Amino acid sequence: MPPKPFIVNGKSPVAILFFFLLIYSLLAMHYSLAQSPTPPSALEKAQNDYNFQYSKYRDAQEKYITARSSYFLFKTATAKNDAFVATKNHLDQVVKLYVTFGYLTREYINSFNWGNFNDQKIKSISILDNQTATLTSFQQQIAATITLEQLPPIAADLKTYLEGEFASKHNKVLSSLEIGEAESTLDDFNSLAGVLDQVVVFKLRSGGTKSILANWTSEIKNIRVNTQKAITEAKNLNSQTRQDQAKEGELDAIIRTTEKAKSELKRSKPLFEEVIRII
Amino acid sequence: MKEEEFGPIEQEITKEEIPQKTAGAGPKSPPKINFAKILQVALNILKGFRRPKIVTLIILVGIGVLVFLVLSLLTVKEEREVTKPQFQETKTPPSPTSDASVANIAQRVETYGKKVAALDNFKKKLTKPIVDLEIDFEEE
Repeated sequence: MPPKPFIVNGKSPVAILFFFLLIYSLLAMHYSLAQSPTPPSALEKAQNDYNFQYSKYRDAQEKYITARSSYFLFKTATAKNDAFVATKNHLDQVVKLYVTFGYLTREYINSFNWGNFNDQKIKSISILDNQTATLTSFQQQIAATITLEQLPPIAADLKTYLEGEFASKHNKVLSSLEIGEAESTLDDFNSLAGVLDQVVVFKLRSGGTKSILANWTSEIKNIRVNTQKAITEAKNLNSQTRQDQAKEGELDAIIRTTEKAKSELKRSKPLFEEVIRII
Repeated sequence: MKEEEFGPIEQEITKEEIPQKTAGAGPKSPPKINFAKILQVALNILKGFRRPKIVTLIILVGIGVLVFLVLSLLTVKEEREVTKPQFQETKTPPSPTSDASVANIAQRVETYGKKVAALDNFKKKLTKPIVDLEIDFEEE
């Protein structure tokens, strides 16, 4: 007797349903994996974290304001406890917000190549590490509190720190960032201008559009000189500030100078594009 | 003369001659997978199950996994086709006349243009968050 032919039991609706569900889930998984967006960069992630912490801070602040009002209104032990919990959470959230702000600053520092100014990058990261350590100690103080009366003095200390030392150190980091970015872009400019300069010389030799190309060369030279001059000036101003701190006015003066360098560098973009069009 | 008309000794000689010819003809081909045999083995295993529902489920799961694997392989292939080579900075400038070098320079100019356009004031980008630290529970 020949063996029975294998027959799939088509009468089972559960099996058919299971099959379609399986195929659907596999297809869905496949397309979700295939079309998943590119993972965010470290800078984008830091920005998202900061935004998230900021929204949490706003929630904590609202709860603190409500709890404070309730405490003044009712003056009960429960209201006092609620005020303590809300205030503690509010202060903790302030610290967390500033810690993520430090991470965001760090990612801006890491977002470009500092070239010759790398020692300032290292100093800036060291400043940020110190700030994070100080904020963590504040966080520990807040976590250790058990009564409402303990919180206002800590809040006052934190305010003094954030408005004083933290702000000055942050200014120093910003001034380094300003100069570092300008310097890094100038390096890119020099590298690209060197390549394009050879192309221009080649075109001049072959006799094509001489006047335009000669003007191009002179413009590039101007940009290089002006940018370098502005960066040198900014570096001089930066060296006049303290080792790890800068005043608001000092930072503004440095920014005004780096702005000059950056606007010069921005002039180079259409000039480079023009050469590409010609060649 | 047909092959059936050969004697047993002649048939043996013929069998020995044929593989020698093919072996010397060219490079060895990769071992072939006998799908019919694999299918037969799989069917034999499936016949071992008495309940047809289980057999159905095993087959359906197998088909599903197969479809998923094929789609995954296709995706990998597409990605390989789509992925462009990474831009690499060249130390020495290429010959200005070459099309490839012009394209390379154009790409560098584009990257530079984006960087220059993104230049901004860090004081604006990294403004310190304004927080409420006037914590006071004294009577107003």
